[in-house]
Amino acid sequence: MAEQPYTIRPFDKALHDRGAFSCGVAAMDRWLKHSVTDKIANNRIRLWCAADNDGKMVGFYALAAHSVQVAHAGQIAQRGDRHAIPAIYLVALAVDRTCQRAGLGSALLGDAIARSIAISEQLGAAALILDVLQDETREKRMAFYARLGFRAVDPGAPDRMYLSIKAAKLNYLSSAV
Amino acid sequence: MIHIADHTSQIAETKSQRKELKLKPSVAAEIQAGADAVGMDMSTFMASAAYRMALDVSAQQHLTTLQPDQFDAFAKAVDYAGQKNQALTALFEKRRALLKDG
Repeated sequence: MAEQPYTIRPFDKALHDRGAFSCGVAAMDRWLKHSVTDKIANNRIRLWCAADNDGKMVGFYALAAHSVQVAHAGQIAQRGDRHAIPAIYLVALAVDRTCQRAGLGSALLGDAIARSIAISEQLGAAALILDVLQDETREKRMAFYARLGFRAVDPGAPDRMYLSIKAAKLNYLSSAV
Repeated sequence: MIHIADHTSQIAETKSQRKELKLKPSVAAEIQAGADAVGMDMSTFMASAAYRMALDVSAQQHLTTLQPDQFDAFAKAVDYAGQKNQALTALFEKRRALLKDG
């Protein structure tokens, strides 16, 4: 197999120049530049960045711990029949304009899912959850995630989707054969 | 009179941070009308609403709350591995082709 063109590692201020990154979605670029440093320092998220062979940051994704709970959990938990389900939340994923439409976004999503499988083996997580970006390509994005096996967490709020870790693992293991 | 709580009232800090905003006239008028309707000054009304929204956004990244029926359906679904999915397998292959760990 040819050498992979991109290296992925945890965000490092010294290595990853956020100022030069632009994915074309202003809110995402603003989030990357202004919101991540404190959240990483306070252990709320982890940011994984892809760089090309020249060290240029070309993509990223962020993961956070998540929990799915039932409304009025206190009362129901007293009956002992429902407990919160641990999950992982894909906070954001983006690819620099210069590298779009070349499969890097898919590769980053694959890495995020693979990492979620590994995390689930360390502490338990039943699903990877994400919110579909609500822009003009929303329907296309939702169809893309649906093809991968993502489903709406709540049919009444279809933009929040999940992939079961069991399903992810089944396909991850078969892809490695 | 409708009662709206000031979500920042329990924070024991002095208001030392000044923010200047440019608003569309009709937006400013609507916010002022809302603040007047609940007997708040506009500054408190805006700070309280924005603060509440900020907390909600943060919570949504870490928590999904479902009604019991939806929760039960979700709990059942995540326990099911399903069938092999060619698109998902291809995604992992793309990852192996393009990314290496640093």
